[in-house]
Amino acid sequence: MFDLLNPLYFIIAGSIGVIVPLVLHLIQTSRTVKLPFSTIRFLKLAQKQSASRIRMQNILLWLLRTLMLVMLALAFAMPLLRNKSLGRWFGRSPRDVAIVIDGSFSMDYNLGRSTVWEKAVETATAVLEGLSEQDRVCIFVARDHVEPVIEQLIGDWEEATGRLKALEFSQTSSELAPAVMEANAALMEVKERREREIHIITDTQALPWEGFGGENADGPAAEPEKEKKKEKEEDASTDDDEDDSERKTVTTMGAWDPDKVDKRTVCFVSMLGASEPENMAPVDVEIEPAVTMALSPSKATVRLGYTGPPRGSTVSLFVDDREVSTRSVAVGADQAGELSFMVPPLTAGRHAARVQIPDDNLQIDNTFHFVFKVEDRFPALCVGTPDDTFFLRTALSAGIDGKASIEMEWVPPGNVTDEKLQGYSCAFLCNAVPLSAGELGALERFVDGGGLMVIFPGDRGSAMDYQAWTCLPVVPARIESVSISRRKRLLHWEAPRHPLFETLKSVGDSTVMVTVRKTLHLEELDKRAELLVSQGDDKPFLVGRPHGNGYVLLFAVAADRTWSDFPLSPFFLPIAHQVVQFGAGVGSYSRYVWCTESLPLAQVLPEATHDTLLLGPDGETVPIRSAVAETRTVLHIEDLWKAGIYSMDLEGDGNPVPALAVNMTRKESDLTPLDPARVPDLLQVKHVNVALDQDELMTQIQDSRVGRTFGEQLLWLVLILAAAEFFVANFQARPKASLTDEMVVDSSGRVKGGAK
Amino acid sequence: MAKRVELVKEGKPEKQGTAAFLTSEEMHKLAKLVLMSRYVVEGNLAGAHRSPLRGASSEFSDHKAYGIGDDPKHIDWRVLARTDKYYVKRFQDETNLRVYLSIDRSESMDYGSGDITKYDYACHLAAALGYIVVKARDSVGLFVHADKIDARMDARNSFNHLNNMLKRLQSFKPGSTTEIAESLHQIATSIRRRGQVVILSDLLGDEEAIIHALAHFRKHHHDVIVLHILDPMELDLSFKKPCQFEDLETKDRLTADPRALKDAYNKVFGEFLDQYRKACAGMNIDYRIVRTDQPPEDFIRAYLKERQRLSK
Repeated sequence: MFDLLNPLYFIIAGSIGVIVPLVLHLIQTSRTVKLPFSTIRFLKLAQKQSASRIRMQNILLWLLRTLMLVMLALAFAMPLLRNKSLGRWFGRSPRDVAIVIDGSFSMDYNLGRSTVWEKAVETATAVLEGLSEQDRVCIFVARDHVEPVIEQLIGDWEEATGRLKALEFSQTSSELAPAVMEANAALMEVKERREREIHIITDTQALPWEGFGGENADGPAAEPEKEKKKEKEEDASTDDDEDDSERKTVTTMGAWDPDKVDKRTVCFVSMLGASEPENMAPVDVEIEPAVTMALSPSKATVRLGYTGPPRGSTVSLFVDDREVSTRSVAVGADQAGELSFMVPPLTAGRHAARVQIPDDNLQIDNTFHFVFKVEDRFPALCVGTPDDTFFLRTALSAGIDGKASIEMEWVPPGNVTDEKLQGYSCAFLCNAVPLSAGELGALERFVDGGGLMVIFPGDRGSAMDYQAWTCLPVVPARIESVSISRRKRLLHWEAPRHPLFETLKSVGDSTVMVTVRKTLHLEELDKRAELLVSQGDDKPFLVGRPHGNGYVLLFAVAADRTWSDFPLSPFFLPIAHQVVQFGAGVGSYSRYVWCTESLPLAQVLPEATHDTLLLGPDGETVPIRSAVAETRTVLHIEDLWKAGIYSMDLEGDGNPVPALAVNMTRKESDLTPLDPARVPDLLQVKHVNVALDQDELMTQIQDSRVGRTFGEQLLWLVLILAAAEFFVANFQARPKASLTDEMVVDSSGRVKGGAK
Repeated sequence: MAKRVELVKEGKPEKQGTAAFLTSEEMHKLAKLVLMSRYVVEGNLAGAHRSPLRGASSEFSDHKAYGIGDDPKHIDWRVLARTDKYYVKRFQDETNLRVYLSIDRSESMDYGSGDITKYDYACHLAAALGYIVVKARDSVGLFVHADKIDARMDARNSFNHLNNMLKRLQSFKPGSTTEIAESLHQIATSIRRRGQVVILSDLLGDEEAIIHALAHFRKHHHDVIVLHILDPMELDLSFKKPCQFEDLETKDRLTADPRALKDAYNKVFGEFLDQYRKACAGMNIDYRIVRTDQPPEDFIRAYLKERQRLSK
């Protein structure tokens, strides 16, 4: 309610102001002159009679003088009263207004007559219309980045209104914190003493508030998840330090810091969305198997996100714009659901698909696009001698589901080149180590480009031969022979949900016993390595590790019977087939990507080149730009802001094929509302007003507007006090009638009157 | 007068006796004035003042039946013719005036805010009055006192006596505590014949006791004149700044702002003066307040003229 624009003056000058009269009084007392007088009897009597009156007068004088100095100090401290009635009396000081609008697609929520976005623009316009001539404004839109509409304060608020009305929400999520920080920075650039206001106009969604600190902003339940996330981030940080430093910089720049906000700044938060929003959206799709074979059925599992009370709905799957299936679904309150569709056999190639739900209040996220890639063959390369690869070649020669086969080729060690590896998605090394440097480089580039490399050790190489590898999940310490008593080993599925095992129905239920005579001693797994299968007493049997766009699998035993009877176990054949299928899916293609500003082309469309014609959902050409990074030219697709199926014309025959599915980020579909009462805790600034509609906001602005600093009024008060002090002080020292005059003593000494 | 005052204050009077206080010009002016007694007085010489005794003056007093020894020349023949009885006329006796000057030399009399202290002023008044009295062939005596009578000189009517008296007066300096009442009682007791007593004092003592002492004079039928000598500052307390006052007699100190105290002081001091004024009026004592900022000769002239006017 009460603020000082310049409190230092009050603290210093006010303190001095209180002390000065006292000090002056003491100085005055110490300087009293001594004066001989005939008798002080009458003075004592007079003092006794007027002591109380003198004391009162002195106190009055002291009070007046102290009050005068304190008021003077207060006047220089420029006090403000945040009070409606006082503001009406004294008038109001000019203000700087920063408007932050939530630009996420959740603002497109339909409230009936209008959307939240339309209401937000309307409210912001009303704020602008409430500005007066001396007021200034800046506008920022919070998307997944901060979009400064008017970066610096301007007085031309009509232009601001024009720019505001031209704004549109984006198909992205949003974070309010960085935008509010930028808005605050824009306000703080001006050093003049003006009213500062930050208007945050958003819906009721809790998501954009995640960037604000607050105490237990996410609640205690969120803490373990946060910790896990943090751990993951820490793990990832060791792999790529540069990326990490960049990410940290971004985080620091956008981090909410309430200490940077001027304590006198008033925050108005308009939460214009529905109090109990309801929204369903498909948030993810998983295809089983990961790589679909031509003319074989597959399964699409759709995950649904839902905010609102329990209800039923329908979900439809479209492939190549044909409705494949529609299913009804019942979802609980604020719960996610899953729904599976059987996808009929498709021809080889890419197929555009989408999951669609009926129209609801937020229509923009009702469709989820993805791309089906159907393969008609799985090329695999075996490297090794005929004996070493015998069991593997035999296993891979068997049909998969009886409808597709693996195109397997065999080469002896020493013949592995880049050219040889081209066109394969999977390469098996059976007792092929040691390799020449050329072969090693070719294989590593193969993995880096998205291939799967499977390594079976053998007697040809020693543990030292693995030291030069950089893509291994673990560098073998040694090759150890297993004693007879410990040869029988039970295999344990350490990661049954790994994509490698996704079609192995028996994983987790069956037990596999193998006899191991010799094995690689695997210790100290790489941080990114995954232990997939262990043998016996938790010793690794199969470990994997992603590398570049590809993956590396390392078995602890050989692919023939020299080290173990694993090739004879019932597990060998399915795992060999599964490895090939897994290899076809590793780094091959993305079913969908999220809306983004830029995406490396090689990551999503490795087959595309600079000349590839990429078309957007509406048929418009999407630019592909090249950039040089570390002596390599990297192609990027830019401005992937529009959700839908992007197609490309590889052949140049004018028949584009589906290439890429782009979806808007689905975390924004979670419309879980934020309790308005929590907003002040999240913002952690002194003055926060939360309004749920425009009228309430206007009332709050009216109530909260700061009255003009009444330093001038205080100076007038000081003047009045000074006059009062002058009057009181002179009243004491006024000339009074002498006793001679009162008694009327004539020149002969005769007293004609008497004392009054 | 200013020059004289400076010399007096320095303690080195240029002249001694009458000349130290009065110039020839002032004497000339004062010679025309007369200090008359309002009551009968008992002198030792024939003079201009009424005596309680019957005498040979031309002032008729009353009749008395003729008796043996009466002078037949005083028989009132007219009364004899009307009543056939012998009566003799009696006449008022006239004698000279004995004026006693009582001067207070207590420490408080040493106060003077201007060029002159109250004691010096009292001395000047005494010189002027003494001159007038001697000039009128009356006698003048002196009492100097503070807590006791410090000096006493009987009444005589010579200029030589006056000169000696003033020299004696010059030899004293104020500097003792006040016991005015006691001193006045002693003086009243010591004057046997009716005369005129002029008290020159600031009367800063116990008021009741002093008034009682004054009554003592009246009991002995003296004609009493009280000249209450006050400094203007004592009357008006017109100090401009707060100060620490030091009592000249008790040496007590008091810090006060005179401006703030003035109203109360006026009231208190006014009551103090009123006490004397009313008491003196009740006892037929001529009570006058004398400010030291008024030239003594002016006061004497104004006072005696008024007294003369009132006696007619």
